[in-house]
Order: sequence, then C-alpha cells, then structure tokens
Amino acid sequence: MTEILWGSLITVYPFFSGIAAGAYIVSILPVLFKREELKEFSLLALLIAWATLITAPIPLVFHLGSPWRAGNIFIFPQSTSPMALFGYLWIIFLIISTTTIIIYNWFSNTAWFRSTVTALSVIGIVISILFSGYVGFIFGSTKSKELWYTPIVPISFVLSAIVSGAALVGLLYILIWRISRLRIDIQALNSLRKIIWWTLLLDVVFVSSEFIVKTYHPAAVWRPLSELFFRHLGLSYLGIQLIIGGIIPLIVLLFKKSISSPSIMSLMSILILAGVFAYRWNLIIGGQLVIEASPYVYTTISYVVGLLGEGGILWITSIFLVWAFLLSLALVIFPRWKVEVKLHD
Amino acid sequence: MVELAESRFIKLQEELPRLFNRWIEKKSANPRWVMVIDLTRCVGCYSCQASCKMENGVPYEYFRTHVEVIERGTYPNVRRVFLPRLCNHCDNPSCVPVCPVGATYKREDGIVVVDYERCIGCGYCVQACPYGARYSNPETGTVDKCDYCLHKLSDGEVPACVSNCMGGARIFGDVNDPESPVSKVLSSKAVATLKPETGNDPRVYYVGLEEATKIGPGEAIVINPKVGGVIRT
Repeated sequence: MTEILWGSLITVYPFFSGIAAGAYIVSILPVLFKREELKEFSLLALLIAWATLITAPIPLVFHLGSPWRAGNIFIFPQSTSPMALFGYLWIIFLIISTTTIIIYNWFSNTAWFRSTVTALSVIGIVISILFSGYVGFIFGSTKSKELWYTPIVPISFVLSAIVSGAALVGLLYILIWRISRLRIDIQALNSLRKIIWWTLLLDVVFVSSEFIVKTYHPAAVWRPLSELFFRHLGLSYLGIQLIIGGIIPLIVLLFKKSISSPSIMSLMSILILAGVFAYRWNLIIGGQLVIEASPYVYTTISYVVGLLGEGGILWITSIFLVWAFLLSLALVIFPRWKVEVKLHD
Repeated sequence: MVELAESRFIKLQEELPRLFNRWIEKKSANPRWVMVIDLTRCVGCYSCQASCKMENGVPYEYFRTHVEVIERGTYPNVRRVFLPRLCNHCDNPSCVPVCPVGATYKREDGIVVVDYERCIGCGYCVQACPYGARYSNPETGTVDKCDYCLHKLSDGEVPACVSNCMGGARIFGDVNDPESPVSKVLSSKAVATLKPETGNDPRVYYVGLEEATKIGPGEAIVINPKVGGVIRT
C-alpha cells in the first residue's frame, strides 16, 4: 500500500508558521531598525503573527496518530530531534508576541515601555527566524528523501516565511484600511514592497538553483525527480510556485508604480501567498511522491486531496476559518492598532 | 511415510524454542542479535511476510517485513531474485535521533524498538528511515516496525519469519557468540548490507545481494507488495 504519510495538514503547518514568523519580523522592523514608516501597520502585523501562531499547531495535532499524547513533546523532548524544538520555540514565541501586544495596548505610557519592547523584539527576531527555519531543517536533514535533503531548504523556508508574512500584512493592510475607510500610506506600502521584492528574489534564486543542481544528479535519481517536477507537480511547481508566485510578482513589484494601485499590490500579495503555499506543498507532498520500489529503483505515485476525511478540503478550510476568527477577535480585543494609526496620521 | 515426516516436523517445531532457549542461556550473557538473509536460499514463498503479519497483528496492507521480487532478463532467459526486507536494526539509525519524544531507541542487544506508550505518531521516523522499514499503524495510532518478535525472543524463541522460513534463508542469532549460526555464516560467506552509503550501519546482512541490487535501467521489473503494481527499472 502506498500512501502519503504527511499530507495536506502538514503542508498547512509550515505555511502558517512561516506567516507568523514573517509578520512578526515586519512588526518589529520599526523598533529594531528604525523603519518609522512601517509603524503604520506594525501592530496589525503583530496581531496577524499572534493569530497565525495560535492556529499553526492545529493541523499538526490533528495529524498525529495519537493526538492525546501531543503533550509528550513538551514532557520528553529529545534534543537531537529538530521536531522537538517546536514545543519550546512555539511557547517562547507565543509568550513574546502576547506580551508585546499587551504592553502596546495597555502599558504604552509607562517609562519602561520602549526598552521592554526593544528587548522583547531582539529575542523575538531570533525566535521567529528559528521558528520558521527549524521546520525547513526537519525536511533538509532527512536524507532518505531526495527532494528534501538539501541545506537550501532551511534557508529558503526562512526567506519564504518573511515573504509570505510581509505579503499577508500588505494584503490585510489594504483590505482592513479600505473597510475602515482609513488612508493607505503609500510610503509604508512602498517600504513593504521593497522588503518583499528583495526577499522574494533571494528565495526564487535559491529554489531555482536547487532545481538546476538537481538536473545534474545521477540519471537514476533525476529520472523520477523529472517525472515529479514535470508531471505530478507540473502546475504547482513550475506554474504556481515559480512563475505565478515568483517571477510575475518580481517583475510587477520591481516598479514603484505597482503600489500606486492598492489593487495591484493586493493581487501580487495573493499570488505570492499562493506561491509560498505551493512551495510548502511541492516540497512536503512532492518529496513523498518519489518512492523506492526496491533499493535504487525509484518510482512515483500520485496524491489527490479529498473533500472530507483527514486533510480534506473541508479540514483545511476550517483551519483557515479558525485563523480568520482569531484574527478578527484579536483586532477587537487589542484595539491599539487603530489608535496607533490615528497617532501616526 | 507422510505421517512420519509430519510428526517429526511437528516435533521439531516444538523442540526448536526449547533448544534455542537453552542455547541462549548457555551461550549468551550479552547477546547482540543480528539476522543474515541468504538470498540464494530464498524461494519467494512469502511465509516470512505472512507469518510476521499473523504473529504481530500487522494491519491489512501494511508490513513489518515484506518480500520484493526482482525479475531480470527477457523471455526465455528470465530469472527471479527475491529480496526480503525488514528493519535493519542499524547501529547508527536515522530513525532514533529524529524522534521528538525519544520513543524509539536502540537496545543494548542491538534491537531498535518503539515505545508504544510514548510514541505520538508524528511519523518523523518513518520519513527518516532510508529503508522504508517503518509504518504508521492506523489501528494503534503509533509507528510500528519489526522488533525481531521481541515477545518471542524473550520466551527463547526465534522471530516468526525465521521459524517459518522454509528455505532456511533467514538465519538469526547472537553475533557475540562465535558458535551461533549467524556468526558461522558471517565468518564463512561474503555478506553485504543494503545501502551502506547511508552511513546507518545496518545490521541485517545479505548473502548474494549483488544480483538483487545491481540493476541497470530497463534490466528488470520489480514487484513490491508495499508499492503495488509492477515497476520497470
């Protein structure tokens, strides 16, 4: 029997953890790197990071064979396992982001406000990079899977995390500001565009170079991989990940004019998010589609997502709805993001 | 004549565990279990695969051990090689360090086991194993694999796949005992391990492995019950 062990639910997790890390990094740029123009949506980015961080483990827990033992990862963590890092990184990241939100909302007039937020941000940036990178390390260190086993994966996971986080911040900034009838700050959006463009460029370069290197692998290895890239993942790899989610946004966002219309920026953000999701999908699902029929004899299999059942479209949609609910709740219970905008104006 | 042979076979079956137990007590204060699979003696009867499933309650469509069939040549010059696969109980296993909760570990006697009470069923070890020897058991919610029939071993019996191997292709025993059948085979025959390049130091040895693994493009077809269908190289 051939089946994919890590299916669509596992694909959702690194997508969410990447967004959490990326949005958090965008949120602390004004504090750590004096990018004052980004203050416009730094609190929104923090709330996005927070809501995404809480949602991230949901698909993981539901995927476990014994979800009732999920706590074992906190009780018996094995130091040699990259996966065991999850418990500590997630908890620390959650504490830091929650504390920062609370301080911003209710203690911003205190004398210790600035120094505390700076200190939290310094720890937070390290944790957020580790949080998005360790997931890549889980795959990058797995030598049994030809597609995963590369040092590029942890790096490109961090880069694509920043890209996806920044793209979602940009998208929701435009959306929420339009709904709230607030003035969209083009300067802030332009700054975000530059961050997205440079990180996306690096990400595309890394992933493409990895692909090119793979074409030079021994024939026995490249043959199933080529079948994977051009047949099973043809649309999602070459189409969505590289062209739609990579090259097109790179071309469009190269020009400052692209942000003159928020609709174009929104569309590019959606394309980038689709590309990053496709990257997670292609790596995680794709890596398991090449199987060994006998030593050194490889073949490929197919994977289709169902509607119902574990990892089905309804499951994935439900997780996204939980995330949307949590974000809406955060925007209501931590209203400072609106106040900050008014102060900024 | 048939009845006599049958009664002797039954007697032998009853005697084997007792003899093995006595042998363990006599020879091994510090055993290190290994298996040698002599491919020149494997007839492809699948009794190891079937007996393992029955002994360990392995769910339908999953395997702790299975037999791959490699068919080489073209008609009429065709020959089949059978390659039994199982956990290699590696000395440097990929599956052990990746377990986030330390639920899988290597015992002093060389057997890599899963602590079913601690395993959370994340499947990371399944992904990490370069031999595809593990599976996620949908009935228990944990990962499962060959443990050399630990329950039988502690009763002084050999694993089910060994006792049921009609060709005597599976040889199991204590490598620390120079008189054990495995030690004798290892010292007298040329053996090889699967994928030594992984650096896992597998401890399941094969006699006559080259014919099963040195296959060029278009040279053979492979039938693997785990994969299903026929795969052309």
